[in-house]
Parts: sequence; structure tokens; C-alpha cells
Amino acid sequence: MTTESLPQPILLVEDNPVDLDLTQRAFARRRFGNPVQVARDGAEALDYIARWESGDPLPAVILLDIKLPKVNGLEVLRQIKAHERFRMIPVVMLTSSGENVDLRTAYELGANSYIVKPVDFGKFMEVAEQIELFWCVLNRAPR
Amino acid sequence: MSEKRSKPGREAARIVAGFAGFSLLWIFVSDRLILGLAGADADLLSMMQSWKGALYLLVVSIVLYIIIRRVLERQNTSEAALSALNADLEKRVTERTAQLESANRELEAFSYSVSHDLKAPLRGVDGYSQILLLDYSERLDDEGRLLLGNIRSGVAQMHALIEDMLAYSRIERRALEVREIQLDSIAAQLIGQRDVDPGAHSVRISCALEGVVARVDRDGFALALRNLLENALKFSRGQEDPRIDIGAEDRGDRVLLFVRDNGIGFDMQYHDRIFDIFQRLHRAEDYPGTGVGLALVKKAVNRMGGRVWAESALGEGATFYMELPK
Repeated sequence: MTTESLPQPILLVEDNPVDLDLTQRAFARRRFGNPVQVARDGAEALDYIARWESGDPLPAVILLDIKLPKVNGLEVLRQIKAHERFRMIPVVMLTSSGENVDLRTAYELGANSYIVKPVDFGKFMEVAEQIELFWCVLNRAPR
Repeated sequence: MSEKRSKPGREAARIVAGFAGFSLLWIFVSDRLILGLAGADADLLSMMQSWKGALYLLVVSIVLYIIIRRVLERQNTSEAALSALNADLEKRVTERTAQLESANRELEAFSYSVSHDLKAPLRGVDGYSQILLLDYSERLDDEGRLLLGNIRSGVAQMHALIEDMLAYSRIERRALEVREIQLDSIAAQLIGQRDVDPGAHSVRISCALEGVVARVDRDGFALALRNLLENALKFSRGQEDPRIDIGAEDRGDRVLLFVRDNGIGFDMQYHDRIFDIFQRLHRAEDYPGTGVGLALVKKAVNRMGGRVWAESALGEGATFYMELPK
């Protein structure tokens, strides 16, 4: 099977242009080679469900911000984790909020991990590297 | 309402005096009248005496009826007024509670925004300065690299401030879980954590809290002690043979915990100010900090029903006290 060797994309759901640019740059500095798909709000993220249903490759991991325009990240998470087929896609919350209520709600809704975005860009690059190493290289998710 | 109210003792005395006067008058006047009417007829006299008694009873009954009815009516009116007042008070309490809850929610939304929205532009400033340093370093001279370094340390300072402000507002919002806690295990953990701080190794810390318990919220107490410890470390580090002593004294239903250092100390005229938020006694380049640490200590200890204060003299170390319920 040749599909096995194709790297799965990472779906990045991020509305803030600075955060989006920095996250893409952080991933670009590491060369694991997973393409990064972008959704700029919650509604765009949910549009991906229809694309996956029509055969688009599933992402290795979804990186999901919480505070998003239109549909917030926790609602996106709820809908993905309620989906019969796509709930097994790993979802990593990547957000500025370290508030306990967000953490708890995210895990209750089935988030696979919760990472608070570091302000220090050096640490942010380490986070990007760890995410990609763990969720795209070490971890095996069903396709 | 109160100006209409007469004194009950006086009013009762007035009624009883009126009643006694009436009765005396009745006894003397009616006996004379009967004697005058009946003359020497013993049967008629006795019959009239009986009728007179019955009439007296009737009049007294009517008067009693009027008085009791008036008293009861008055009581009903005041009870109605009282319950109306109570209802009004309850309504006001409900309104105030709703106002407080709404203010609290606004504060929560505010902290949330601080947490989420203030950090994003900071990440931008830090990220792009670091990318400049990483990718364009050879095109910058030493001055350029120094300036970028300064930008990044400004970001780090701003980030520390945001985190401390968040911690401060979080203490206010958190529900406390007050229970009996062994203080020495928390202190040991906090002292152990200081190993990550390389500058703190030279400071000798002794902790004598074995068996000391207090009724506190674990996280609140840990936060307070951690900040006192960091404060003591910061101001004693540069001293010769720096040391910190942590201990406690029993004070009946309270326990008095102290953190004593032999650091630079402070002038006692500032003993209150040091616990105020953003108050600092030193320049940032001498002793870095956000000015939130001791304010956090005060807020956390106050919320747990304790109090905090400090004693010191310039150059002679400082002792910080936490009095906690037991």
C-alpha cells in the first residue's frame, strides 16, 4: 500500500494571523514533512468533516484553538468527537487559555491533549516539534 | 412608623387606670342609686344587686372586646408591615446577589480575555524577534542583536506580569477547599522545587514544621508559602552565608508560621506597602520581579481567614508571618 507512506496532513484551526504564521513557521523549521492544512474559524474546521466524508485524507492530528470566530473550538471538538467515524482523529487543543474550566471542558468533550501555547518562541518551536514527533511519527491513528 | 408607636407599659397603665376609675365610680354610684330606688325592700335590693352585677359584666365584656380587637388589629397591621419589609429586603438581597454574580462573571470574562488576547500579540513580538535572531543574525551587528535581546526580555517581563495578574484574579475566583493540612509536606515539596533555580543553591534552608497542621486550602497555602520562599531567596541570595528558617508557633486556635531570612531587609515604614499589588521597593535591575508576589500571599491568606505581616530592619533580614486557622 503506497498510501501508508504518504504523510498525513496536520489540520491547524487558528484565527489569529500572527499565531497562524508563527505556528506554520515553527512547523516549517522542523522537517518531518507533514503538510499543514488551515481552517481560520470553527465553521471552516467543521467543513472538513464533509471533505473527509467525500474521501479526502484524514489528518494525523487536529490542532484546535478554543477562542474562534463563528463556532468556538469547544463546539468544534464536541461535533468531531460526536461523529461516528471521525471521533478517532486525535484532537490536540492548542490555546492561550490555561483556565481550568477550559481544560476540564476540553477533556470532558474528548480532547486527546491540551497544550497552552508558550509565549517564548523557542519553547513554541519545541512544542511544535514534540507535537509532530508524537502525533505524526510515533502515534498510529486509523486512516 | 416609629413615631406613632407609644410605649406598651404606659398604654396598658392608662387603660387599666381608666378601667379601675370606672369600676370604683360604678361601685359607689350604683350602690347609692339602688339604695335610693329599692329603699328597705330586701328582695328588691337583692334582685337589683344581681342585675347590677350582670350589667357590670356586660359593660366590661364590651370594653374588653373593643380593647382586644384594637390590639389584635394593630398587631395584624404591624405583622403585615413587617412581612412587607422582609419581602422587600429579600428582594434587595436577591438583586444585590445578581449584581455581584454579574460583576463576578464580568471579572471572569476579563481575566479570560487577559489570558487569551494579551498573550497573542506578545507571542508575535517574541516570535518575530527570535526569528530575526535565528535567521538574520549575520546581517545584524552587535548593537542590533542587543536591541533584539532587549525586546525579548521586555516580552518576558510582560508575560510574567500577565501570568501574575491571572494568578491574582484566580485566587479571588477559586472556590476554596479548606481542610486540615500537614504543612511540612507542602513546605518540603516547595523547598525541593527550588533545585531548578541554580542561584538558590547557595542558600541554606531549614524547615521545622513537623506535625504542624492548619485548616487551609492546600493550593492557596502552597501559593502563599511559595511566594514567601521566593521572596526570601531573592533578597538573601547575594548575602554572605544566606539562610532561611521556616518554623511555626502554636497560638491556641491559630498557628503562626514564619519565614525568616538574613537578606537585605526593608525599612519598616514600608511594612504595609510591600503587600500591595505592583508595589516594589527596589529597581528591577537589582531585584527583578513583578510586584505581585506578596500581594498574592496576602490575598490567599486573607481568603483562608488568616493574616499576614512582616518585620524587618534595613540590612538585618526580614521575617514574614502567616497566622492561619487551626
